Amino acid sequence: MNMNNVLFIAANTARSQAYAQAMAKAEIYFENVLFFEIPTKNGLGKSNNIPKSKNVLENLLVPDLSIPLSHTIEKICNHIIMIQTDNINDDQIYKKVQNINPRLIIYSGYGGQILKSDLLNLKIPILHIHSGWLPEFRGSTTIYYSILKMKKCGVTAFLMSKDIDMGIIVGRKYYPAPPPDFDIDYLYDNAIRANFLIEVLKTWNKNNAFKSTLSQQSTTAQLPYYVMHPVLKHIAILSLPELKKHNK
Amino acid sequence: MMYKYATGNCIEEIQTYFYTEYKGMPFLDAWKDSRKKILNSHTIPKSFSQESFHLLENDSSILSVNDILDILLSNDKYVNTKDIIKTLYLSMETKKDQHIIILLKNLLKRFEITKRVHDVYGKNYKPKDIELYKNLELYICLAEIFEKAYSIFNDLPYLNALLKIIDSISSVFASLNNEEKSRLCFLVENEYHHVNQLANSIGVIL
Repeated sequence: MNMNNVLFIAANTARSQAYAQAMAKAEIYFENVLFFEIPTKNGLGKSNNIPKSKNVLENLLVPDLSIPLSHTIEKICNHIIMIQTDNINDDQIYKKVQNINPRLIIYSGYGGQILKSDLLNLKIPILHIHSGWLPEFRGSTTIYYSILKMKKCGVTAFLMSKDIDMGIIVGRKYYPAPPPDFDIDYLYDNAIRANFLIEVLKTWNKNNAFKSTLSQQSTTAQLPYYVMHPVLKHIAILSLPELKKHNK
Repeated sequence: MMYKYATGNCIEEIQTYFYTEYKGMPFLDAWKDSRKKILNSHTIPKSFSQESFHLLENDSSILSVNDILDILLSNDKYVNTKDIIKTLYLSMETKKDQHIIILLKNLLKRFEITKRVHDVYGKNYKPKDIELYKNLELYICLAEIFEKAYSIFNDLPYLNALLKIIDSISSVFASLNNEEKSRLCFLVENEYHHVNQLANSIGVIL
């Protein structure tokens, strides 16, 4: 499937690896992929201790984080644009995007960065996949909050806006909670996001539009979630069915 | 295993809590031990009453929630953090209106972003002086607000922030005065109660 005039912006992170591997498996191809990193520096979201892939998630591709992102990107695009920065708001990125002027951007940046208005003002839809059911689970580490409150995890595709996790929702899906002893931060989280991204892209490509009725999120609906404290994170993980048995 | 999130001076060298590692039950045991150390290192005087502290101390100048929200939207106006906290603490007792939630939400956001409590805030909750963040009593006061907010609203972001701010205060335990230590002990007990109740509700035995 050729994604004509769609730009994949990928930081060198586990998430981008998961996206690229899922795209390669689904045979999704791009004219351009914009790959940004400072090679000597680890951005947030890049795993130092690579969790091993355990291919046990039903119907989901678990990313193999030992495969360098650049190797996978070579398989899915004609032209890799390399930019040495770890900042999505870097002017070099803005100029490239402005020059390419894609119909759609698929965004996979470093954690903790907020898009500034320059890129947003280009009026190009920027697709982001959030591992939380929006608008209820807005913010950071929502996958764990969702396990604590619902024992399952939601994923939302939305078009980015100036406010965090507040853009127009273009799709949502629930996934079963991860199996016990399965790495959540780098494997499960990225596997479910990548899986849903592929579904959304297939639909978009087929219909030349996003399928679901677009809904603007309420700005006052819910308190946002902030990075989960490790005590709550441990309780969330220990509440997963098999681990609960061991705990008793 | 050592509980590392309340070591060093977390007010000077802030914890980000990004990508924290999963270590299983021994981690929760280490957390409990770390908090028990606080409780064991201070005896709360019998005369100490949790409700008698800072809030109602001969002060007739308590601002309304709307006054504070107006100040925090205005140029060149400032409000002492202690005044915000007094107002919130007292208002939460009696009502749960949208203005209280807005104020709480913004204080929570400010703490989560900076992990600091500044002495004075101005427009858009920006600190008047970014160097003024070392008043430990304000950290205790804000922790009391988070504890109370979680008790009333049962929203996890408040419990999450309570755990973090207690880490920060515990890391400078030696610098607290006796009254502050007593207040911290109450907070640690309430924190454990909330965490234990949450864990039990989803089948995790602490």
